[in-house]
Amino acid sequence: MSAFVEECRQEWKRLGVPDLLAEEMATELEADLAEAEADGVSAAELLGDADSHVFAATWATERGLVTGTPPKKTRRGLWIGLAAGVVLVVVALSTLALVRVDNSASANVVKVPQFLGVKACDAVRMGRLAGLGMIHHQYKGRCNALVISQKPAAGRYVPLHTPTTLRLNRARIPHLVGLKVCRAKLVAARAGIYLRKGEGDQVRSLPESSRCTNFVVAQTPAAGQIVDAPVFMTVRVSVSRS
Amino acid sequence: MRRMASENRRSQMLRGVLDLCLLAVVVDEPAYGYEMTRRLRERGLSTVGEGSIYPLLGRLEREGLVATHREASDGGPPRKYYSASPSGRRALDDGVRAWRDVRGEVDSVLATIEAEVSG
Repeated sequence: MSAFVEECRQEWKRLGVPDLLAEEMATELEADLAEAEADGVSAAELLGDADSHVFAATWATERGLVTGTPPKKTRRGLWIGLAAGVVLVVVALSTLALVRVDNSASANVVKVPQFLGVKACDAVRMGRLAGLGMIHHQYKGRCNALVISQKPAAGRYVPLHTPTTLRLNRARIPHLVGLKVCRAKLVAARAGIYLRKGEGDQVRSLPESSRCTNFVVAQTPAAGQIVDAPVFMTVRVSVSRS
Repeated sequence: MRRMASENRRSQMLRGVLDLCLLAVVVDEPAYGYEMTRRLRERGLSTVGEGSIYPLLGRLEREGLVATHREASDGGPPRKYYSASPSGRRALDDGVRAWRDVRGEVDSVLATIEAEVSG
């Protein structure tokens, strides 16, 4: 453990950052610093000139793990500090209880990813990578269907292998008008939508080599509609100038 | 003194768009912190000014603009990977549009000044 990371760890402890999260940040930082060093990149290049305490406090604050600078040691501040200490003890005990229920060893808490709006296949992959347990969902072979609700909620810290339930819907039509054709193809592909161009009976596939200078000027169906996957969208494309 | 002022200005300007740059390097493929720094460097952004990307990543995570997951690494502890969430992708699209607008407007103004100076 480098001196810089150790100082960060102490600062997080002083600020009341939960141990599990402090450990997560310390591990992340340590691994990155080691890799940077192997690349010949100094810690100063990676982290700037900031003092370790300032760096640690800024990171934790931006992550929402502390609400501000610690109160001065006034009488009122002392009471607030005591109350915060009690809350921290309760939180720590609750976390310990959770870990024990799960029969896990150390650091067995994972943060639930945000699955909403994510394609079913990706959501399952993300969930497994995050360390969640059995992932229940209405899959039915629709890899491109979107997640419309999840339990547990995103951002919650839960024991490793916690069972997760995802509810899937269908594809949401994205807004493509105004985008360059190549960008529109990318957006559509990510939403699991097949893109064609033309109007009426003149609909045909977009060629792989669609020029990136042309723009989508109209689309069907309209953006925001929820429709069954697989979805076909038709767009009208601006005429090339050259 | 002049160099310091120049670096300070660069840092101030980057501050407003560094979040977009971070989202841009993880929009297609997840990356861990140092890997993001490496991708920024490969695309020409060698220094990110004061501080580092970590506090900014913390904010993006808090705001739900990036999703995170852990992946095993070769020999070391699992790495924390960041990827642009659906709302992050939307924020990136909006931010890039706003950046291009501002850049165009500022370029127009500065180009005029430059012509006057050099002429």
